[in-house]
Formats: sequence, structure tokens, C-alpha cells
Amino acid sequence: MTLIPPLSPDRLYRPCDTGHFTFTTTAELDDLSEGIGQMRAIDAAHFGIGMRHAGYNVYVMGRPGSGRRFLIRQLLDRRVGGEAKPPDWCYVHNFDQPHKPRAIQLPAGMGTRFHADMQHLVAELQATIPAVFEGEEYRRRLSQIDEEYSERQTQAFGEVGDEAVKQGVTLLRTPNGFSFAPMKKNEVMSPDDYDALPQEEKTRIEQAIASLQEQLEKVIRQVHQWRRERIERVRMLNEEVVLFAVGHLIDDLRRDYADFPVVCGYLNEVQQNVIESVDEFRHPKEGMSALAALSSELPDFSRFRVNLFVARDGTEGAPVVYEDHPTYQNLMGRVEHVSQLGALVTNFMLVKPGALHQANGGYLLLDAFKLLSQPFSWEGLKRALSTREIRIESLGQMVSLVSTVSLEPEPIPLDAKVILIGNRMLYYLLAQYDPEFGELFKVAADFEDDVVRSADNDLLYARLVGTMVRRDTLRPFDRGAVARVIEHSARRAEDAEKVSTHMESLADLVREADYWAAQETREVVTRDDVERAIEAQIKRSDRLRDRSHEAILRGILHIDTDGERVGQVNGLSVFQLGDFSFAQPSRITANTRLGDGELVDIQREVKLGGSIHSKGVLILSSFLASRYAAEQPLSLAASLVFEQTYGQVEGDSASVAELCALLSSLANVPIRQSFAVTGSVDQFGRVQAIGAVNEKIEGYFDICKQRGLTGSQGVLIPASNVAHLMLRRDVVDAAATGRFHIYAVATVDEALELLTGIPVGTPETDGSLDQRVAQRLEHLAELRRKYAKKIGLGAVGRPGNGDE
Amino acid sequence: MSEQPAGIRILVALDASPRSTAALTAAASLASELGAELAGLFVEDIELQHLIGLPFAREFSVLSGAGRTLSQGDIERIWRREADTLQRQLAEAAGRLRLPWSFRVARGRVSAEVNTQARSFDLIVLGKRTGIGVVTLTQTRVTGVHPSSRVGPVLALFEDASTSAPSLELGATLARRNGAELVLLISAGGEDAYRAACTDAQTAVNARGIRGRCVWLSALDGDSLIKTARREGAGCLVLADRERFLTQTGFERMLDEIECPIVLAR
Repeated sequence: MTLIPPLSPDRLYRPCDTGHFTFTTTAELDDLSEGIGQMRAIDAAHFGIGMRHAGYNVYVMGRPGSGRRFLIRQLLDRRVGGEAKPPDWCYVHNFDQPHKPRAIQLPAGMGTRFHADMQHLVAELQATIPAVFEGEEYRRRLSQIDEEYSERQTQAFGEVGDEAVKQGVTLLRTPNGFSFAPMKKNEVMSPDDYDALPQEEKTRIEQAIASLQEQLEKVIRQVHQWRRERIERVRMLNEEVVLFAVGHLIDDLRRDYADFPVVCGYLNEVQQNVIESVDEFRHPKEGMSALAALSSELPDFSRFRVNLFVARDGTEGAPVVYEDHPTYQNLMGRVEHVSQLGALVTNFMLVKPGALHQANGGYLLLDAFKLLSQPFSWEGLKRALSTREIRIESLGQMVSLVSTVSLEPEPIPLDAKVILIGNRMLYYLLAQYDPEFGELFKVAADFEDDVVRSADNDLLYARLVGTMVRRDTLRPFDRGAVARVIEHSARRAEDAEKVSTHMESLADLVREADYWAAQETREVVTRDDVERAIEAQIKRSDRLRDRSHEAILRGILHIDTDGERVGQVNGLSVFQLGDFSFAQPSRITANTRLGDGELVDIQREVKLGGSIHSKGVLILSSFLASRYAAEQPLSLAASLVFEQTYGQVEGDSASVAELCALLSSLANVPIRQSFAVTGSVDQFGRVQAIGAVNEKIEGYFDICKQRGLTGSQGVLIPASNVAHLMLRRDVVDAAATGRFHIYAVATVDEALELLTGIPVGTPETDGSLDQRVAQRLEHLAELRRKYAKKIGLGAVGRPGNGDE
Repeated sequence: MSEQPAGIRILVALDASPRSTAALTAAASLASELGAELAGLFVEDIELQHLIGLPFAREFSVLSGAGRTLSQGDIERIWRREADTLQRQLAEAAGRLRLPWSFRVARGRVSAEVNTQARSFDLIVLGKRTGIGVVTLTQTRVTGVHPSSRVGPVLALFEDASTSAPSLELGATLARRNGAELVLLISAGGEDAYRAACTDAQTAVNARGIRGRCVWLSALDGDSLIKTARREGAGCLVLADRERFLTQTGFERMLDEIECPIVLAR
């Protein structure tokens, strides 16, 4: 039997070759703006941003902290400077439908001017109109109208009065009008005097009064007609006066905005409204009346003002907006209200823009998770992108909770590129379950989690470190420090041949290394500073690891690191605590007995095993059956358990260890407890790669080291995991000096030979493990046959079968 | 109801017209300034009493021109309601300024009742029409077409320094208290006389701490005063030498056609 040799130390850690670094410190390197190894994502983003057609919005996916947003922002910043500045948007009063404010588009910068011009116009109107109406000319002309009207009345009534006097009758004022009465000595004749008149005189008077009453009726009707004429003449006079006073002001504006028909149309409406509401200018209200406050009446001539909704003054190129809190209203805009006399009122000046308005004509960056967490935001965004317009609606109205009269601002056309930044799971969930998602977000920019380690990428990484150093005003890193950063990134990537692209953790490490360099009063960050930063990061997080290891060392958790035991092997479990993960050995035991082929996974039975773990156990059961009982029933019952575990066990990385424990129990061959085993197994006994191989090796090494390294201890790992090894310095050193060993196994047979010290061989090979297993299975089958005969059961367990 | 009578007494003749409200305000201002007692007078017009006794008595509505029969009951109810309202308004105005006040209802001709009462009062403020004769609707309906918050000027008639001292004094007081312009109606036969009288009048009001604008009144008759008051949009007209006006022919017409309250001083 030839046992496989342990891995040489150079395979346990791949150092960064500083020989191809041509710099002394990162201060000599140029900034890196495009990221490392993200060309696929960057190209996709370029494409998405460049496509101006509808639906080509971009979903940027990758792990949080991978620097996606930073890179996209950089890409946009470089691009938008050369793009045209989008227009300004204003809301103005709609004189026909006051609850539907009108949107006006103006070239960038013109909105501010229009806003100022209208404010100036209102001030001019307030000053000019009262002055004109107070003027002598207006008063004289008004007086002429009044006098003319008065004279016509006087004449008309006078004629009636004169006629009455001729008849000996007077026109008399009564509480609600007029009457006629006969006169006597310049006074109304008393009833007694009237009674004393001869009948002919009475008849004459009554006929005269009847005739006068008809005349009076005609005059009163005529007077009403004159009054209407007078009102019309006064109205025309007022219009003429207002036009004289303000027409030139509005004409000036019309000339200035001649290229904008919408503005000219609006100015026409303003002029008409000023004429109609001239009294408001002549006699401005002292304060707002309670009734006005509760109505939609606008205070202080605000209806002629301009709500400068989106202004592009002081900006260059297209806008790039990142909305950190994408509530529905922050996104779509809102209509605010103010409290007046206890009632909430609003007007078009209180219409406020959302992020979509601000980003219109440019780019809007949103965090997908935050967007989906906010009620109605996602639906609102989709609606805006589908209809290509931004419609401001209150949430209450949108879900039909309230139906009070509010504003319905005219929708604004939307021409913005939306860039969602999120993780992959959200992307695939949206793609699967939201049919509109694919139509609206046609471009996915998928950021890599890691990139291949190569000389070129190492240099790019060095430039990235240099960029971060400059951005945060840190000390430059020397070559050794950069190399250690790259090695640590490889460890983060769990792959000696890759480096992580997780920018956030990289930036943390760079800043913390700078801190430790400062503590040592160094001008340049060295490898030692990076090493110390890494150790400090671990130290800050490893309290639970220490407690766990302490429990093993004190014998509370039974883990053997020497001697031999049948049906027991050291497996390795990983614990993930936030950003920190560690491993500890777990004692896996197996028990075999007479049975009918059932393999009991105790973890699964008590619902402490996950589905992948159960899958691993079922695979090894299949392996067992195919290798040892392909042509006969497996007369075996076996049980497997992770001893002293009290939580969920998930994953199949212990399936090699479980198989070894099971075969050890079956063959009654002891297993060396100085080894720990990790790896999953397929139905043919091939060992497959697992995750967190470095943590697992280090977890077992730490226990062995504290108990004392004997030179016989080691860890068996899948051969396919060798490429992932980036082990700690002390583990590599122990391996180099022969005090600890790492074995890479490709099959379960190689693992069994290392663990038991005997060859696996075949059922026919004397002394081999397989022969012992076969003999035990044969023995169990024999026992089963005897037992079945004894109780009258068939070999297959059916009562009364008796096929023997 | 009435407080202890003060030394100075002001009579204010009231009815339900807007002018009456203005008259009450003017009278209350003067009473407050002079520390005077305010005496309200409501005259139930005897002419109406006579009218409703006639078999063909009909009232023609200002609004529609339609006629309806007038009854004694109608008139009595209207008078009662108007008197109650005016008494309440007077009480409120006097109460605000802590003035002694009284209110009286009389029946007769307005001018005769005012003349009768005049002897007992230092000032008379007229806010009531006489009720008879030809009147125009301008006074009752048209003023609302262009509502103005502007306080109309106080018009004070100036004939000569000795006769018109009371009208200047009262005019200046009313203008100052109400923040109104003071217009001096200068009655003069020729331009030189007008200029001289204007200078005298302005000097007199300047001494009372207020500036006055002169307006030439070519004739001192009812028509001239009516036209000037209308043209100036008068808020109040102040006349001295009241006995002359009260007995003057055409005063009743003037009272009817001038829209603002008329203050009559001795």
C-alpha cells in the first residue's frame, strides 16, 4: 500500500510575486478608474447607458460592497459632462382648471429667468394698477359715466315726478321702493282729506295715479337696463385702463418669450385674468379671510407666480441623481399642504419635484432593495417608465383611500435612464416573477465577485490600492504591503488563483493598515502593517471562536486528536458570523447493526439536518449499496450523527467523513483520530470540493496546536480544493517543518487508507478493508436469514414468504 | 338705557340706509372726540302714514318695478324692526367708545322733527332721507358696483373765518380720526376771493394739525353741494350755520341726494 504524501508547503499558500512590481510605493502609480476585471459589466453598462431607446434601463448586479455604485457613478460622471443640459420645468397656474397646474418646459436657465420675470410683473402690477385707478383721468371718466347715468335717471324720474305734480300727485319713497300720493299744501294728503274730496276728483286722482304707476314701472325697468349699460361701460373703462397700465409690461414679456408659444399663451391668460381681477389689485386684501383660507384661493397674487420646479442653473451636462431614500413621493414628487385655520390647503406653488424630475434628461441611480422595500415605489417607477411621463399623485388618491379635491399637476414627459443597483437574487426574482421587469430593464451589468490572479491584475490591484490611498489621503503602500493586500484578497476570494473584487473590505483593510502604520510612525505602509490590520480584524471578531476552542480544550466538547477509534472521525464545521467565519472540528460517529438496509441520519430525524446534508447522507448510502450489496439485500442498519451539535447542520462537506466512520464501524477498523476530514462524495466514491477549506484546516490546526503538534496530525481535503489554499503563515510553517500535514484526496479509498492505515483493496484481497466490510455484511446477512427463519419471515421481510 | 347726560350733545338722525351707518360712525367719532352724549333719532315718516291710509296706496319695488299693496301692519313692522336695529347699533357704537347715549322714536316729517330737536343739541348728524320727492336709484343701488375701501374725503364748507370756524374744526377732527382727506369747499364769487378764502381756510386747518385741499364752490346752493359731493366721492359733509340750511328751500332734496352723512354745526 502506498499512501499519498502530504502537500508540500508551497501548495498551501500562493504568495504575490513582488518581482514584477516596478514601483517602490503606490504614490508612483496612476489612479485606476475602471475597476479590475469588470469589463463585462462595464461594457454592459456602457451599452445600456448609450442606448436612448425606451426600456434600455440598467440593472447593475453584484455583491454589496463590490464597488458597483462607485464604478457606475464614475462611468456616468465621465459621460454626462459632454451631454446636453436638460430643460428647466416650471408649474404655473391653470386659469381654466385651477386644480390642474400646467407644466412649462424651457431651455436650461430660462426657467429661473421666467420665474424672476413673473415675480417682477406681479410687483409691477401691484404698484401700477392702484396708481392708475387713483389717477385723475380715471376718476374723471368714471365720474362722466356716473353723471351720465345719474342724469338719465334723474331725467326719467323727473319726468314722472313733473307729470305727477301736474296731476297734483307726488312721488314718495317707501321702505322698499316708491309710491304715489295726492298732495295738499306740499304734503301728502291725509286719508280724511281724501275722503272729503268729491267723487269726480277722487276718480281723476286714481286714474292719474294709475297712469303714473305705469310710467314709473317703465322707468324702473329702463333704469335697470341703464345700470347694466353703466356696468358694462365701467368694465370696458377698467379694461382699457388696465391694458394701458400693464399691457406694455406683458407685451415686453411676450417679446422676450416669443420663441415659446406655450409661455406666450400663458401670458395671454395672465393678461385676461389681471383684467378680470382688477379690483383685487386696486383693493388688496389686508389678510386672508377665513373663507379664502379654507378654499383654494391663492393668496397674494400667487397665481401669477411661477413654481420653478426643476432648475438646471449651476449644473453642467446631464444630471446624475442618486436617491438614497426612494419613497414613492421622493421618487415621483408630491403635492404639499399647509395648515391654515386648521385646514390643509394647497396650491400649485406647493408641487415639489421627486428624484425622477431631478434626473429627467439624465440618470437616476437607485438601490433595488431600498426601492422594493418602499410601498408603491416600484409600481410608480414602472408606471413612469412605461408611460414615459411623470405623473404626481398623492398616495391616498392612488389607492383610493381619500377622494378630497387635490391638485393634479400636468404630467411631465420622462426621458431618464434608470440604473438599479442590487444583488443577483433580486434580479433573478424580478426577472422570474415581474413580467414588466424584462421590458423595462433590458440590460444587466453583472459585476464579478473575483478576478484571476495574474501579473497584470496584480499591478491593477496595486493601482487600485494607490487610488484608495489618494482618495482617503492615506500613506502610500510599499510593494510588500500591496502584495499582502493581494494575498489577503485571494484568501477572501477563497481561491489562491483569484482575488476578490469586494471594494468595501479592501478599502477597510487599506485604511486600517494606514492606521497601524501611523501607530508605528511610518511614512509608508508596509507588509507588517497590513498583517497587523488583518490580525486585528480577526481579533476583534473571534470571541466566539475562542469560546468554542476553549470548550474543546477543556474537554467539554469531545474531540480526539490522537489515538484510534472505530466508527468515529473528526469532521469540520464552519460558522459564519457576519463577515467573519471560523471552523471547529466535530465528532462524527457511526453505528452499524443488523437491519434491512436503512441508514438513519440522526440529524435529519430530529430535523437538525438541512436538505443538502441529507442529500450527502443519501449519496453515501447509495455508494455503500452499489459497492457492497449490488446483487443482494443490504442486511444492515446504520446510524450517523454529529455528536454534541445542538443546531442546524447543513451542507455535504462532511459526507466523506461520514462514509469513513460508517465503513470503519462496518469493518470494525479503527480510524486515526489525529486526522480531520472534509469533503463531499459522489455515488462512485470520488471526493468533491467544498467551501471554506482554509478556515476548516485552520480550525483543526488551532486545536492541535494548543494541545501540542505531534507531527502525526493533519487534515484530509478534496484534491480539487488545493487550488483554494491560502493558509495562515503558522499553518504553512508547521507543514514545512513536518509538524502538521495536509493531504489532498481524490477518492474515498485514499482517505480510508490514510485514516485506517490499511489498504482498501477488494473483497477478495486478504486483510483489506473491503474484505472486512464484505465479511461483516455477509455475517449480517446470515444473521438475518437465521432470524427470519426463526420467526417465520421471508428473506425480504414479508410474513409467510419462507423462500429459503 | 341712558347714561348721565354730558355737556355736549349730538343728535344723529338714522334710518336703515348705508348712509345712516356712516352717519352713526361719524357721530360716534365726534362724540368720542368731544366727550359728548349721543342721541339717536328715528323718525317714522308721517307721509307714509298718510299714504297707507289712501285706498290706492301701492309700493313699486326698486328691484322689479312690480307694485304691491301697502298696509298699516307692513309699515308698523318695518318701522319697529328698523328702530330696534338702529337702537342696537347705537348702543354698540356708544358702548365701544364708552359714551352716554339715548334713543328716541318720533313720528312726523323728518325735517320738522330734526328742526324741533335741533335746539336741544350742539351738533346734528343727518343719516336719513326725508322720503319725499323725486329721487334716483343711483343712491340706493349703484354704489355697490365698484366697492371701495377708500375712506371718502371729509368736505367742510368754508364761507368766512367767523361763520365757518365750527365746520373747519369738526371737519379737521373727522378727517384726522378717520384718516381721511380734508376738502375745503370754498364758497367765493371770484377767483381772487377764492384764493384768499382758500388761504384763510388752509391756515385755519393747518393750525389744527391737518392739511386741506381747496375746491371752489361757485354757488352756495343745494345743486352745487350735491354735485361737488358726488364728484369728490364725499365721506362726510360738514356745514356750519345750521339754521340757515335747515330752513333753506331745497334742503330736503339735498339731504336725499347727497350720499354721505351731513354734519350740521351751529
